[in-house]
Amino acid sequence: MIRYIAGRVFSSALVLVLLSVIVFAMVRLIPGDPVAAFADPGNPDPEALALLRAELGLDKPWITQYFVWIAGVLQGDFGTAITQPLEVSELIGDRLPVSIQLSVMATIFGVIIGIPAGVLAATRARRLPDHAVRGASFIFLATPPFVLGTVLILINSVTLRLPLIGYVRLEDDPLGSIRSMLLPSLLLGLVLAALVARYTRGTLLDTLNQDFVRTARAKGASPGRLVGRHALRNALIPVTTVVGIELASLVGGTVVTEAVFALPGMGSVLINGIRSSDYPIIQAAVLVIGLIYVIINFAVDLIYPLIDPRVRVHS
Amino acid sequence: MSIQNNVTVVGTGTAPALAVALPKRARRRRPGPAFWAGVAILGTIVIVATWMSFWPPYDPLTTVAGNIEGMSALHLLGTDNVGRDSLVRLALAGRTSLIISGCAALLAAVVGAALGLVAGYVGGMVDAVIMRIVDALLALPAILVALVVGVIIGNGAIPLIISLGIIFAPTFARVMRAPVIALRERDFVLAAQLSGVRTWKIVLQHLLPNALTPLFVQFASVASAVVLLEAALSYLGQGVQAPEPSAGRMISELTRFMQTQPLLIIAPALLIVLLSAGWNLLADGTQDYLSPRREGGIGGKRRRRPGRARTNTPQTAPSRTTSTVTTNTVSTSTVTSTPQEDSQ
Repeated sequence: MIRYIAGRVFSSALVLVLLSVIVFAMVRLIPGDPVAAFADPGNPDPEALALLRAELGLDKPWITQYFVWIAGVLQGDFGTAITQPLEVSELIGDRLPVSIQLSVMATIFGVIIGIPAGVLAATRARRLPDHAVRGASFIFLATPPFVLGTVLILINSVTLRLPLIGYVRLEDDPLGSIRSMLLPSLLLGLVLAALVARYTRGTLLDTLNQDFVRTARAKGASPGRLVGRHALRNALIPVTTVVGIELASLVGGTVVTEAVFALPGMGSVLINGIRSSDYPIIQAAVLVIGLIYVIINFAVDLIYPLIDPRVRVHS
Repeated sequence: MSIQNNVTVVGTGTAPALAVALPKRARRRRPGPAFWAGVAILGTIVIVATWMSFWPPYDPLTTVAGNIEGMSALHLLGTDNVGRDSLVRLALAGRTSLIISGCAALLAAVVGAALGLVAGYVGGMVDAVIMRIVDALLALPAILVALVVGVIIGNGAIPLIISLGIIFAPTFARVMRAPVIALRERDFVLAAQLSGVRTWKIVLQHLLPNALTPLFVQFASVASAVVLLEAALSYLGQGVQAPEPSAGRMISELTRFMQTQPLLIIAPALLIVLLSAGWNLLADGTQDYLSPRREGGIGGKRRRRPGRARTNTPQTAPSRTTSTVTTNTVSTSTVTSTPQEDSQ
């Protein structure tokens, strides 16, 4: 077990180091001069620009810049944004909670819709409920989020009339904040639910075909007990992994949804950073998103042996 | 993983032998309805797009009628806000999307399969380094990488193919590596090694053909993901640039006319869904055809399967919406690979 954890820690750390190098290199490859924003476009003053570059450390070799950046990151300092007078760590600290809240709410929606749908499909395989669930999940997975978002907005405009835009911060007004995020998280949640339903159906079908389920059925367990007590617990183990990883990827992957609903999350930070070629912002945003992904993956790997004794035995 | 099992059970080296060893009825299997539905959808789009490319009834880039006209005999899908024929523009958008998704998935397959073959066959440090780089790349949501890479190498069809090809290559590396590791120790590979067959020949002639099934399935599901990602990039204004027609940008530009003429939004949305669903159906159909999965619910027919339950977690990565696109394949492979690799 300790070897398992140590192995996971080591490979996660390695992934993070590689990730930071990739992010750093990728950002340096972006064409466009970040200090150009300060220059008078008609008559740039090369000396002033050089001075500014020196001030921001952009004149040093890449290797030096990388280590200066990493040293700061390890102390929680992502540097100062170039195009606006703002500490990058403050910006991230401001926006990250929005993305996390959105992802968590979407995951909740995904689980409470997806798992029952998957169970329904598996227990009535190749009958009407199964076809309905599979059809719906197929369509949700093939529909781009902005289309689904438009449809949701339309439906909302004639039914619930929830607020469309205007994000309320969680600490200001918890209920209002949840309300303001219902639609976007439902949108992401539906897509996640489609995925979760597919996995739940597949693994539950596998489990229902196993000998111990047959034994339970032979002993007279009711179908409800069969699924609830025997099969579902085993079937949900791989689903847990999928949900964990999806949660991790949602944190940074909500760019389009944020654009549709005008939410101030990590996606909009990144898009604005890219549009103004603000190196520190892009670097920090991408690194933080990758970091969260790696951490949640790591957590899922640690939880796995706890919920599945078979993994524990093998390691 | 299920594929791997089949190969192991059959215990022969080549693909035809696999078919021989299967029961007679299985050998005569034909691709199911999912496969043909996918072929039909993509085929229709190809035919219409080809027709509209070579014999366009109207110029897709100029005004040919009044603004925002509805459906009519002259303009089957009406016209857009500057009076351009919607059908021609949609057909061309479909063509662009189809070419980008096919080429990007092909590029990703070639690069990723090469990486996976090398990592799986050589093993050791090479494997560790390649797979950690793959992990690092997969830790970033595809759309973020696509946005950043798009800024680096520019927008347009060819840069999109390159950037989306790079983004999805790691998923192929993962899909390729697992069967290669299983095959590496098999007798026919050892025999080839002992008879002095060159390494590249072993990899290309003995390993690759045996690991093609997951590659085909992955190809189609990545193509589906690329369709959605390309649409999202265009929606954000970063994909195919104006005045070239693109379904994603049509939706972002024409949403404000949604109340007047819903068709302006519905038609491009439908095109994206059809393209993505077409590739997905192709992936599912290929999966079912090449490695049949069992079915059945409570009280359903039971069939004996080799291997443990967990090795049969769904292999096909169902395509995801663009916002979290890469991770669909990530998560599948993680589900099937992480716990097991670590436990062995």
